[in-house]
Amino acid sequence: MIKFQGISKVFDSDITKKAFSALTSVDFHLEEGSITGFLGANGAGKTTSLKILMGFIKATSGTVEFSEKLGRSPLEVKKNIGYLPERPFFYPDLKGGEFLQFMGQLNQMPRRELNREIKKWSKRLSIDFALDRKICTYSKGMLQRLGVTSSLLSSPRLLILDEPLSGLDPVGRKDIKDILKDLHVEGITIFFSSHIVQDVEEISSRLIVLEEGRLIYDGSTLDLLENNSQNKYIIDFIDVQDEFIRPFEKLIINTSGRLLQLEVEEAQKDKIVSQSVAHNVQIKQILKKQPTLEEIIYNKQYEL
Amino acid sequence: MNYNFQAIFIIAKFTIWDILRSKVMTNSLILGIALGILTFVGKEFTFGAPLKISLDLGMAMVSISTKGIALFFGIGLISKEIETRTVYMVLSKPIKRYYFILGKTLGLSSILIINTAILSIFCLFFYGINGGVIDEFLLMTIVMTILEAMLLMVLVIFFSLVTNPILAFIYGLGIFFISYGLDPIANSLYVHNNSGLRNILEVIKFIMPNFKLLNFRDYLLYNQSVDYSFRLSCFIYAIGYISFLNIVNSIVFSRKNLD
Repeated sequence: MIKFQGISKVFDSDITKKAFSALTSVDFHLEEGSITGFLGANGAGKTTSLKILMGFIKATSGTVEFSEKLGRSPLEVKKNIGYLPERPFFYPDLKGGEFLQFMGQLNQMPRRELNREIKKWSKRLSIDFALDRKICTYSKGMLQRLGVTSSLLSSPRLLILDEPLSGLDPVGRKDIKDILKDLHVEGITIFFSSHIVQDVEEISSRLIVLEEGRLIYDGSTLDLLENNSQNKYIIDFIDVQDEFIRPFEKLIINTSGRLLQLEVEEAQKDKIVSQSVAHNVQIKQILKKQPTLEEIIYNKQYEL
Repeated sequence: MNYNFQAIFIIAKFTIWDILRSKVMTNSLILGIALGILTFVGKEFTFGAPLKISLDLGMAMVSISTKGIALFFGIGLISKEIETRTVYMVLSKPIKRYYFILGKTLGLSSILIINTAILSIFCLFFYGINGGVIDEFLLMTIVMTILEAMLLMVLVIFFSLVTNPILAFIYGLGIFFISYGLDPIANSLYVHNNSGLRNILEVIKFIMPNFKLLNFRDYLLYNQSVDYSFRLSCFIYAIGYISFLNIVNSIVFSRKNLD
């Protein structure tokens, strides 16, 4: 659906600042119908990439190609894209409903269809109660809901969302994640950036990760987790006798009150379990040791 | 795909709403009432020229208020949108960039017209009750006041696109005052005797917008006759310069990196 090819972006220097490279030869493509999380720490180049994608700024080198399914001209392509910028700011003296009318009318939506879509999405995003209020009275979460509503009005084929979950309370985050999941099921291509890895892990099947303007991972979320999973287990025991634990003392990683925790290799696991049965030692739980996506991405010890 | 020129009017419409809601028109009403009081008080302190005072005060207030709106709203019209990222929401829609700037300019121009209309009604009312006659040249002066403010507006929009809001304010206001001062300087004896300086001033006068040309208030107040061909040429000059700067602004904005 989109090919982002060899994109580099250097912000020019002036009297007050040095030139700096925001993106270096970044390549990725978005497949139709995919839901892709765009990850990276602050300043990694996510927003710059999205601005280049939307044509707000020009890349120093490289090209962005859109599939013909989105349209043949830049205006046709935009008609099929729903976009939400990072920390959106709206016209403070307009009412929420007026703003949505504004966005829908720019999308050349027929009035009746626009009213229907505003009603549908504002209700779904729980912002319908505030559409008659001036935007300057909205909270941060309400602004985010309004922004997401406006990006969905024209039934886009591609959604590009820059930090759509920031500023939302847990209920709001869940609402938007559910909507994204539903849209994905309907076949909408979704590309969203976030620095909250848990949210991305929860809903995206594919990941693109940037670090200091360079692409460090582009692939399946599941593959990344699988490739970094370890054949180690954590076994929690309760009320362990000394003679039982003596042979495994080196494996203890935690003791707390009646609880004792061992980290064991897969090969040792069965042996320890059978011995605990023989010694009548109670096992509370056995967990496979699995790094979280956050640990994989932000801890250098894992392989991307 | 058809060009969605309607978008220009949609953007203009919502720009008008946004500015109207910011209560700028309250300012016009307050100024209108102040004008009434000033006219009344001013009349008491003048001997034999209450009509002239009434018209002078009224036209000055219309002019200052409209230019103030042009200057202060013009600076932020585009630069504020970029700074606050509202521009991203609008430009992500299927519109050309120049639709956006033309729509915003049209919206603010409408506000200038509304503001001038409100204050002019007050002005003409107080002028009328003092026995003044509203003629076609008076109305033409009001129209030229609007065009003068529009020219100032597109000029500061241009500077706000290529510099920053503070410099745009300084440059816009600077050029406005310089354009009023150019004629007296050009007619001074020193410049008259210095052909090099005279040529430089001629080039500057040709390039710079001539706001003085659009100011008919002195002709009006001193009952000087202005022939139709001069009025028409001033009108065409204003429209031409405003259109030219709109085209320049559209080109600059279309190529601008919105980072």
